[in-house]
Amino acid sequence: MSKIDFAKFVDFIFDEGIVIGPTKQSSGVVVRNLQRSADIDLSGTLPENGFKSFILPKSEVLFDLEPISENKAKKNCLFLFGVSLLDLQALTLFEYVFEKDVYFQSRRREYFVIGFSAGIENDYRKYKVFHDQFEDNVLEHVLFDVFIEKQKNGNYRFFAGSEKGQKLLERAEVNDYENIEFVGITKESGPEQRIFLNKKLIAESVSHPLWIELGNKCLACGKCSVICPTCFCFDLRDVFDSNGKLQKTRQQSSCFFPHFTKVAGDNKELISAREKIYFWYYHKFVRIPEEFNYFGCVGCGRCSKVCPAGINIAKNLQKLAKEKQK
Amino acid sequence: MKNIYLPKKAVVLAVQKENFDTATLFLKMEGQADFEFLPGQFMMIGLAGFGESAISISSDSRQSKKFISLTIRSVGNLTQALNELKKGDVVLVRGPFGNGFPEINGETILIGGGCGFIPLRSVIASNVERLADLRIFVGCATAKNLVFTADLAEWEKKISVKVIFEKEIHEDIYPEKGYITDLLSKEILNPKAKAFVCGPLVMYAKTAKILLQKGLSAENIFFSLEKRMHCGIGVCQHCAIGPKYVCKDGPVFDLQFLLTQKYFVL
Repeated sequence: MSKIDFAKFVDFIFDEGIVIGPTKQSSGVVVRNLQRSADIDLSGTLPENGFKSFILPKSEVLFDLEPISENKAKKNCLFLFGVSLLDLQALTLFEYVFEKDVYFQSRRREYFVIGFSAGIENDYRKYKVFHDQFEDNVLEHVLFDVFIEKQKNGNYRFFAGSEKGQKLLERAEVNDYENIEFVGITKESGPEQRIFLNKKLIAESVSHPLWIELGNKCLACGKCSVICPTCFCFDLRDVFDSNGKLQKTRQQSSCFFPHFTKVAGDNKELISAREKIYFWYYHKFVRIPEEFNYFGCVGCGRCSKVCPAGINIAKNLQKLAKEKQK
Repeated sequence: MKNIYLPKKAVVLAVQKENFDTATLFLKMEGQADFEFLPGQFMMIGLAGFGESAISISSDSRQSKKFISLTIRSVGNLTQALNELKKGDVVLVRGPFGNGFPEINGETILIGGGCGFIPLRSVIASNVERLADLRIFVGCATAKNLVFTADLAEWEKKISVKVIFEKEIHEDIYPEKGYITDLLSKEILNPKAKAFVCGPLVMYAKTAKILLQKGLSAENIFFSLEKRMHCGIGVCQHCAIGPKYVCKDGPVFDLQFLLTQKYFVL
């Protein structure tokens, strides 16, 4: 597949709809709404943010409350372009988490998810992934519409991961592509071993002094959960719009926020930073694997990058693992 | 695709004042004729502008195709507004959610603390023909806080109903003041019995300890938990307890599971 096809495809999607993708800014590579194809960053650098806020908006209207009526407005044709493998894994998890969610599913049907890899070696160095590797059978275990792999010789390989993706490629006159059939999130050999290892590690560590240490460090600001591509906690709230119309909205939340477990009489369960951070790790490494046989942490390292207290998730896991070995 | 967040309208058929801060709303919702629930399950009830809250069903499950009742204590903005409703008003409901209590098949001890007695009322009302299997224990701050006073008097004619108040003594009811755990610790309980417990979290650890000491087995002791909830289907994470969700896998959990959770360590 030549570079010409790649350029043709990119121009095609810019003509068709709104393109959200990685672009280089002074602060680094970020995902945002792109105006032109030249703005796309194809270096394979993991963007500072992810695609989460585009697939799970920080706030969205679910329906009008007075009277109750569903908002059936057609959504824009949106292309999430240049989604790294790690972010694809996070979006795949969301497909399972929000399986019964009509809002997520209808948005997902309108969106095109276009994955991109700038090459194995390059990825690995720049992503600083602590536990992920690009493997041959990776693509059949993630959900996407189109995946583009940049090869070492500078050419591009196209993969279609859905019927929607196939049709898109054909409309863009990209005919040289391979079909990848999604065979489920779990590999033929069973869930990855590290899922079980990390699950055991976190589930059995509740009394470990690490959590006291982290509780003393953690500011409970919630930045890690906001940036995390697999965090999806939400609140449902009744909110007036600017015209005074009362609407049921969904707003992204965080288990670090003070109201998260608040019940009648101002009683709360997650009070200390220690409890909150353990709850957060537990969700990623125990509850999600328990529910979906999938990892709740894709290893992007964004949480460690944004943490004002310098808490590093990879180091903490390593610490627990090392002590376990002793 | 079904929209799980979209509530149904329910008309208030009647309001029954239980005490100074608690009222029972009798509701008939859209599709009531097809409605079924299990005692111990709950509804998300809301009012436009006030949000939603998880409230246990207090009525007889065999009447579910005609009406349900929700007994609500006024403790916040929404519950206060719900307590002010009148016959003919409309509320928004979703549900039923959760698992409910196990079926009654043998001696069962019902232990309710304060407004925690509400889901237990549904257990009793749905099993009146098995009333002889039940023993009822109620703990409450004062007589003013008691709910279902008339029901308790009615049941007391047939089975053992014991009520203790934390802050006052009513000689005719119980000769001492204290917590429900004080009441239980003096009782002889059948070790083969089941126990259904609902009340504030503070009473759970001690109640569990007493029931175990009395010889009941952890898999026969069931607690109904209260947690903040938003979605009701185990997605939003607010009500997560260890690997499970109170809204989906609960609100009723057996003690065997709860003992694996850190704040139930005895």
